[in-house]
Order: sequence, then C-alpha cells, then structure tokens
Amino acid sequence: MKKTRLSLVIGALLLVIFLAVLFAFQVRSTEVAVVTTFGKYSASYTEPGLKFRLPWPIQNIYRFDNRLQNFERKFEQTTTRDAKNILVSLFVGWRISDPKIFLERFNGDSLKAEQQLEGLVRNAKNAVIGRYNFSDFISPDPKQVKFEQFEAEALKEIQGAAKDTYGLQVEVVGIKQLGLPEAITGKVFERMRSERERLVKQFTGEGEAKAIEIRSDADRRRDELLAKAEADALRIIGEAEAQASKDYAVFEQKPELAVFLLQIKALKESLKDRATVILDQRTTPFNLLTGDKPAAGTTK
Amino acid sequence: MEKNLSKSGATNWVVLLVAGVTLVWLAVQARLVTAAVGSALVLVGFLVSLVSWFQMRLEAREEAERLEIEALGRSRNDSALFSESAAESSPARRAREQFEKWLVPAFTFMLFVLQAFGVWHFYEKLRGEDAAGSETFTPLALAVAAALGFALFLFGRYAARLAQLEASRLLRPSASAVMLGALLAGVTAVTAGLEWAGFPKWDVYLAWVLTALLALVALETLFALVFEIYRPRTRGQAQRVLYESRIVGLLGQSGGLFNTAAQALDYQFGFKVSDTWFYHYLEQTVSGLALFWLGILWLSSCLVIVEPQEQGLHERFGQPTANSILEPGLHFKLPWPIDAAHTFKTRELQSFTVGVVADEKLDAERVLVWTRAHYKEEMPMLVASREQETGGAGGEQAVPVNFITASIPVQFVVRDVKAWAYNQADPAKLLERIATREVVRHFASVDMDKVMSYGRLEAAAELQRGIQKQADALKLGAEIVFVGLQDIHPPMGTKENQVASAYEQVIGAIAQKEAKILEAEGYRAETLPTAGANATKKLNNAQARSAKLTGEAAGRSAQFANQLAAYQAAPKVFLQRTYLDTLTKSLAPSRKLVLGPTNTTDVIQFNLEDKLRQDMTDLYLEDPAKKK
Repeated sequence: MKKTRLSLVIGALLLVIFLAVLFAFQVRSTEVAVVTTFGKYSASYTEPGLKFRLPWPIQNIYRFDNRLQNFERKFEQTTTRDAKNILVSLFVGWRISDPKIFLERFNGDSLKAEQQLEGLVRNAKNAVIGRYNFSDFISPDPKQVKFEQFEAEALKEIQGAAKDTYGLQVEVVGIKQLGLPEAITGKVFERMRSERERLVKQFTGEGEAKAIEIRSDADRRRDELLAKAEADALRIIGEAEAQASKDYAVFEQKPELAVFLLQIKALKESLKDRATVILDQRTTPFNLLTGDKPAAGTTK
Repeated sequence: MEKNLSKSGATNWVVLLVAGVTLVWLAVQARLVTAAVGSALVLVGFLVSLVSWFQMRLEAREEAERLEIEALGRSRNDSALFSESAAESSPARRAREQFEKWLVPAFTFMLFVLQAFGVWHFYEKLRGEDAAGSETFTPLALAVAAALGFALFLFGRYAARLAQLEASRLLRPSASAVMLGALLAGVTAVTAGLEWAGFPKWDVYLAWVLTALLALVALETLFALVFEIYRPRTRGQAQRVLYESRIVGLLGQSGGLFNTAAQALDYQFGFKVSDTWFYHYLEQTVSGLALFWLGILWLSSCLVIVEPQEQGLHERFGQPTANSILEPGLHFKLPWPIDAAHTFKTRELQSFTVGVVADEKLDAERVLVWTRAHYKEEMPMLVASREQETGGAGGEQAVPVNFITASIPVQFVVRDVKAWAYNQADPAKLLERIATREVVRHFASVDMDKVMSYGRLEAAAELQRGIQKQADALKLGAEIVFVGLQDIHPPMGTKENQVASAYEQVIGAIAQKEAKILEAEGYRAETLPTAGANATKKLNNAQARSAKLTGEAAGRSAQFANQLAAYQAAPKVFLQRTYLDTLTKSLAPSRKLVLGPTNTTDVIQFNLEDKLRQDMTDLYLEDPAKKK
C-alpha cells in the first residue's frame, strides 16, 4: 500500500515535470524569445520570467541573446576628404531590437546578422570618412582630433538602416585601429629614419659648436688675465723706477763724485769673477814701476 | 530440425565470408579505415562460425551414431559377448570429444593471436592515419554497405531466433557473428555517409572505436582461455563453446545485457548466482536506488557554492531575484529548473594587452631591445608628427605621421557583476576594443618623444581615465585597476628603413655631443686656473723687482750721502783711496799681467786658452797668507 502511494507520488511528479516541459518555458534576463505557432509568428517576449506555450510541434520557441554584442572585421583602406589614404577598422556594438525581424532576416543567426551589418558599417564608414580630413584623425593638437564626432556620425548613419531593415539596434561604433597602406608606411619609415639622421647630425654639430665656444671662451679669459697681469707688472715696475729715480736725485748734489762712485762700482762688479787683467805700467799704481813720481791727479 | 540448424550454420559462414570480402573490397576501394577494421572483425566471425559449424556436424554425427547403436542394441538383446567399451564402439563420439579437448582450445588460442595481431596492426595504422577518403566512390560504398548490413541483419535474426528456439549453443556464436557483421556494415555505411557529407574525420574516429572493440574481444578470448582452466567441472553439464564471445553475443541474443551477465556469472561460479537472494534484491531495488540517486542529484541543485574570487547571480525563472548577487560562501536556492545561479570571477584580476600579440617563444627572451622583435605581432600606431611637412619625400601622399609601437597591459576587475553579466554578450572583448580605441585615440595627438620618455606615467594615467570613462558609458561594470605603458618604442621598420636603429643612433649622437662639451669644459677648467696662476706670478715678479729697485735706490742714496760727506772732507785723498782700495780688492783674485816697457811697435800675443802643459807663466802661486 505504502509502496503504491510512493509510486503514485513519483508518477505524479514525473507527470508534472513532463507537462511543465511541454507547456512552459523560461526566458532569461539576457534573452528575448520569439514564439511561432505552426511556423507563423505569434509573440515576442522581451521580459524575463516563466512563460506558457503549447507543446512542440504546435509552437516553436526561438531564443536570442538580447545583450550588447560586439564585433569588428576588416581593416579597410579609405580616402579622407583631403585625398589621403587611411586604413580604419571599426568595432560595432549592437543588440536585437526586434526579435521578430531578427528571426525573419537572419534565421536567428547572429553571425549572419553581423555579416550583413558589416556591409552597412563599411558603407557608412567610407561615406563618413570622406567628410573628414586626415588631420581630424591624427593631429598634434588634441583639440583637432575628432574621433568622437566621427563615431557619432557613423553611428547615426548605421543606426537608421539597421533598425528598420535588420531589427537591430546599433549602440556603439568606435574606431579600433588606424593605419596606413603599406607603400605609405614605407615612406613614413623612410621619413622617420631621415628625421633621426638629421637629428644625429644636428646633435653632432651642436656638440662641436658648444665645445668650440667653451674652448675659445677659456682661451679668451686666459689671455685677458695674462694681459692684465702684464699691465699691472709694468705699472708696478714703472712706479718703482719712478720711486728709485726720486731717490737717485741725491746724486745731483755732486755729479762728479756720483759718476766716480758708479765707475768704481762697475769696476768692482766686472772684476768679480776670475778674470785676467792685462795692465801696463801707466796704470796707477803700476806707474810706480816706471819710477815716476806718484801722480797727484786722478786716473781720469 | 537438426538439418535446419546445420543448414543455418553453413549459411552463416558463407554469408560472413561474403561480407568479409565485401568489406575488404570497400576498404580498398573507398579507402575507409572503418571498413578495414570491420572486415577484420567479420573475418574473425567467419572463422568462429566455420568451426562452430564443423563442431555442429560432429555432434550431428555422434547423435546419428548413438541412435544407430541404440537400434543395434535393441535388436541384439544385449549380449554380453559383444559388449565392447563405449569408446571403441562409437568413433564419432570419440572424434567429437577429441575435437573439444584439443582442437577447440587450440583454435581459440589461434583466434586470440589473430585478434591481437589485428589490434596491433590497426593501432599502428590508425596512429599515422589522416582522414582521406576517395570521394567519388563513397556514394556507391554507402549503398553497398547499407545493403550488406540489411541482408546480414535478416540472416542474423533468423539464425539467432533459431538458436534460441532450438537452444543450440553451437549456432549461437555464428548467429552473433552475423549480427555483428550487420552492425559493422551499418557503421561502414554511416562512415561513408559522413564522409560524403564532409566529415571525413569520423572515419578515423569510428575506426578507433572498432579497434577498441576488437581489442576488447581479444581480451575476452584470452580470459575465456585462462578461466577455462580453473572452472569447476560438473558432470552432465553441457560445455560452453569456448570461442564464443559474450560481447559479440550481446548483439545476437534477445535476453540483453542483464541476462548475458547473469549467465556468465552462473557459468563461471558453477551455481545459479542468479537465483540467490542478493541477486533478486539487487534486481528489485536497482530501480529504486537509481531513482534515489537521481533525486539526490536533483536536490543538490539547491546548493550553490561561490568561491572566494567569484560572485554569483541568482535567478528565478530567468529573472534576477531581489537579492540576486551571491557573495562567496554557501547559498540555498530552489532546485533546477526553477532557480538558477551563475557564477562569475569578479574579484579575480583579469588582464589583456593592447598593441601586441604575444609570442611564447620570444617571451622567454630576457633582454628586450628595439631593434629585435619581441612580440609575435606588433600593431604600429599612428602618432602625429610635429615636424612640419617638408614636402620632399612623399609628395602628395605624404602624411604628417609617425609610427609607434607599444604594449599596454590593462588590468581590471568586475565591479558590478550584474552589469557585467546582463549588459554585454562579451564584455571582456568589448573592454579590450574600447581600450584599444582609447590607446589609438591617445596616440593620435601625442608627442612621440614626450610619450617615449618622461610623459609615460602621465599618459598611462590619462589612458586609465579614458578607458574607465568609456567602460562606464557602456555600463560594463568593470573597474580598470592598472594601465601600463610598456616598451613604447619606434617600430623596427623595414630592412631598408631601420627606424628603431636610427633612433638609437640619435641617442648615441646625444651622448657624443655631451662628451664633446664635457671635454671642452675640461679644457676650460684646466686653462683658467693656470692662467690665473701665471698672472699672479707675473705680478709677484714685478713686485719683487720693484722692491729691489726702490730698496737699492734708497740704500744707494743713503750711502751716497755719507760718501759725499767723506769726499768733501778730503776730495783728492778720498778719490785716490777709493780707487786704489777698489783696485786692490778687486784685482786680488784675478790673474794679472803687467806689461813693463811700453813699446808701441811691439806686438804682444797672448794665448789665453787653458793649456795642457803648464809653463812658468801658468804657475799659479797660492797666496801664502791665504793659505795660512
């Protein structure tokens, strides 16, 4: 008896589960669902929760992710308004705005939707870039760079078409990468290199110039110093001579004596070293040798 | 009926032979490995059915002999005179017994060897196998294999039924073999179909499965051989057919898995295991147990364990509940499918690198230089060039840009798990794209030299702010923890235009410039003090001379004043005395030659050179007074 009751309970439970599986389904908060009845569209559920349905094959449920999806594809070459080539890749964030159209257009396949959207994005990208100058993307002045403006414009361009025809809401368009075609890249490399080479020369020249400047300055200052010292020395000696000649004024009192004394001094000085003196007998005091009387006069 | 059995047995081995050959043909023609392995299994089955048919014939002959002897015995009134031993009188029975005793184990052993060889052969073959079918032949292969499978199935069903009805243990193995053949032909057909549909890999996968089956059967044969030795012998019990595979038997018998297992146990232990209470208990409760475990499994979906680095989100019927964020720890919820919980590694630091694709091989290098690639792929970013366009190099296409490469690691954690989980399908990827965009945006208007040197930290902070702002605008729920600006450098450039090395040369030139300036400064440092010293020396010399001049003048003038006084006292004597005094003193150390006569006509010659030989006049007499 007990066993049968247990079996009954289990059986009932299983039946409930079975029925629940047949007649109900959940929509997660990250999903939207489309219900079709015999293939014909009957309802879309964008709010999460438990929903009722008729069992398969009467009704079919399609669930799609309703979160923001993002993708990026080609790095594509386009031309700016000032006829410069640039490679731009965009990333796009989109979500399903109308699950019914999404199901019809893409059979519920996000990849397919992204492929179609890609075409739209490329179109808009090329069109909008044509309205901007190269310097609106790359410029040394941050205020001149118009990324935001470009993105807003591209978004607007894509949004309209995507919403009506694809059932998609495009919410974000952003520049992912900028580049240049290969040929131009090579030229840029070349320019960068020659720019650096110029800098090398500039630095070498600057070094040379600065060195010469420093050296010549040093030389000048040395010469100045020496010249000044020379002048000072001459002045000092001049002053000393002036002073000395003032002292020598005393000789004027008896010039004959002064001259005599100077002669005596000179004689003394000149005979200081070992010298050989040849004298004749007329020289005082050797005149004594000749027997002459001593002269009373001077040698002079 | 006996005849029927024998006929069916014969049909089986013929059919299996045909099937085996057909599969070999398919394996060669359509290049299906599955068919090759299948054919091996079928040919093994063929051998089994051939031997079982032979054994069947022996048994039939024995039966006929027994009937004959019985009839003979009845007509002969049981005379003791003619009673011979049973063995001698029934050669057919002896033959059967000998066959079972020697030939069956030998054949089983041979079977094992064949199977083992097959396993080794296909294992070697499949290891080097790359799926390559011949596509033109596959539709035909599909048709042939399917037809073969169907035919084998019909034969097999009939033989299996017959074996069951007649309880013929000898027909059973061959019936099973035919059923296996049907299955193998079916698998071959499926393989051909998959190959046709564009999944050639499945041929190899299924071949692996069949090889495993062959290995299993080989093992079973080995075990059967070993176990046969240790089995208790009961009198009167019909011997099991040694070479019959129970695994293959599963296919041919209606009893299914459980029955085969029970029979195997009974046979192995020698008593009816399947009649014990335990076996019955198991049989009764196994469904209950299974249910119980399923229930436990289901109830375990009420528990959620959130790990320390995670946060969870709690949903009821797909809708977030009021307190939907689950912090680390144990949580309870209603069982599946009413409630669901999803966990996210929100607290764990996540990171990605903008600008480069890392290369594991190059990652191992310890020294990173500009002139050698250190990432698999570097994304050159455009940087505005401040240098004015010179016009020369590029002409119309010249663009005022430079390239820069950088690797910028971005680290983040999830701040708002709800936003992270519910707003974005792939938030991490979106964050990476936003970050890349910010980096590109930043570099588009930056000064290259500045960002490469002192502007790095500033730039990193700015990037972090920018990425955070964009992430918040898109409601990513992520918090940027760190943005680093690593190895920013000029691109390597091409072979002809080696940009990075040109940059390095500039740095070399700067160093050289510094060196030159330093050298000049050294010269200056040396020159100026020397000059100063020289100047001072000059002044000092002048001053010394001046002192000497003035001092001497002063001294002389003072002396003159005294001499004047002396002179005025006795002018003539003073003069003479001074003169002679000086002359005496001055001439004292000199060599003196005094010429006595004054003859103006005489020519006097002096040789004042130092002479080697001394003569009278050279004789220098020491002053005796001085000597003293």
